[in-house]
Amino acid sequence: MTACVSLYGIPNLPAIVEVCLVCASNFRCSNDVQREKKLTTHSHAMWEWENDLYYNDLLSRGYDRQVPDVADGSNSVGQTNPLIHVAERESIANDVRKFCYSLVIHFLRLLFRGGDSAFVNGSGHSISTCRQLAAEMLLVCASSSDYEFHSLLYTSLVENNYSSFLLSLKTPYLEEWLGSYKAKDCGFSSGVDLLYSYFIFNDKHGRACNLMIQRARAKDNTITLGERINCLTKAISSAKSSSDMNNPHDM
Amino acid sequence: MSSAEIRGLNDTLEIAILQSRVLSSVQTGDSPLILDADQLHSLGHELLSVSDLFNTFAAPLQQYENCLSIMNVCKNNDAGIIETLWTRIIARELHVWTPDQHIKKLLASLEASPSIDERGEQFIDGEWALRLSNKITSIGLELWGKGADYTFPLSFIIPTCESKYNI
Repeated sequence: MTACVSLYGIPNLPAIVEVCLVCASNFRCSNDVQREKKLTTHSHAMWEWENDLYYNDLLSRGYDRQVPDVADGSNSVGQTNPLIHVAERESIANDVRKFCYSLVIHFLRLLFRGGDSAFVNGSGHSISTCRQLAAEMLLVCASSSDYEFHSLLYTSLVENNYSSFLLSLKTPYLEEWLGSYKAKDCGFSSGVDLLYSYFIFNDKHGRACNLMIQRARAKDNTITLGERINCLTKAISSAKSSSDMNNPHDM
Repeated sequence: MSSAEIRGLNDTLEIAILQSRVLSSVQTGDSPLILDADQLHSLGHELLSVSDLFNTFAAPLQQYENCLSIMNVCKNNDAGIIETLWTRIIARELHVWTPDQHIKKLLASLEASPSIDERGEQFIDGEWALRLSNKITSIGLELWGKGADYTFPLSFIIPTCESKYNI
């Protein structure tokens, strides 16, 4: 945290992202690592000198304690309960990771808001510079291969009305995230609208058209006729753009 | 996407817009028929097929202009249905009262003025003529020039109207 504040004051925003994500990467579960092996762009993997510095060291010594097993009534002091051990490890790891992610998002939000006067504006940076710094910071964020971080970052950008920055990000995760965002976060309509905007922003008009046709014809009795008409209008507009651009890979 | 597919989407959109007009008239209480909850939900939430929209909603709800528009979008050239719809539209504008038996008989042949009494609008005042003219013009503007001009059959509309003006 102190390091991040110092880096923010310099300001060296990419370094904040690097430090936080490297730290978070030391507290990751095996599932996350496996997932990211499939979609690696730029991994904030542990540096050599960090081996066993945080997570491995803490958990191998601090949590490898002996737990009495009361269930079978036997005097089993001296045995370990591997289930409790794993659950505690993961819980602590999750908390630490999320704290690291939230630090990045916190400083990013400060920049989006025009900068905190104590740090950035106090250092003589204008609001537009803050936005520029935020955009640079986002670029570094986008290069991360940590899906969990991407997910939290995207949610934060949407919830704070910075969707335009989100849609401009070039990451292998964004499309998948936008597709799933509809179901659980702010309602189907908003998620679909965001995904549609993403396709339009990236000149994928054919896919935008198909998305709107699917939405217009969806067997979902909560979608009103007005929404379906709106989707058809967008689908036609995208279909015309797609035909004009004549992109065979865009369907 | 091919131009034929885009045309198909356009047709779907036009039908959906007509469906929303039918829905609006139901919601504003202009409809003579009361829909049950399921029908109302279908009308307000689904993309109905053309035949469902026409046969289940627009025609029973006496949405004759929308019926013509549906036939226009679908390029349906059924002269009998089109003339019947026009007859109903003209009759609706002739919702007037007259003591003249000859005119009464003529209006009855159009199924017009079935429940108007002498306190209602008088045929002799002629206000219906301007109203009818405006109605035909507005419908014509919507139907004409979209590749289905037969839904605006002047050869039927003009003689039908002239017979009323000449009474």
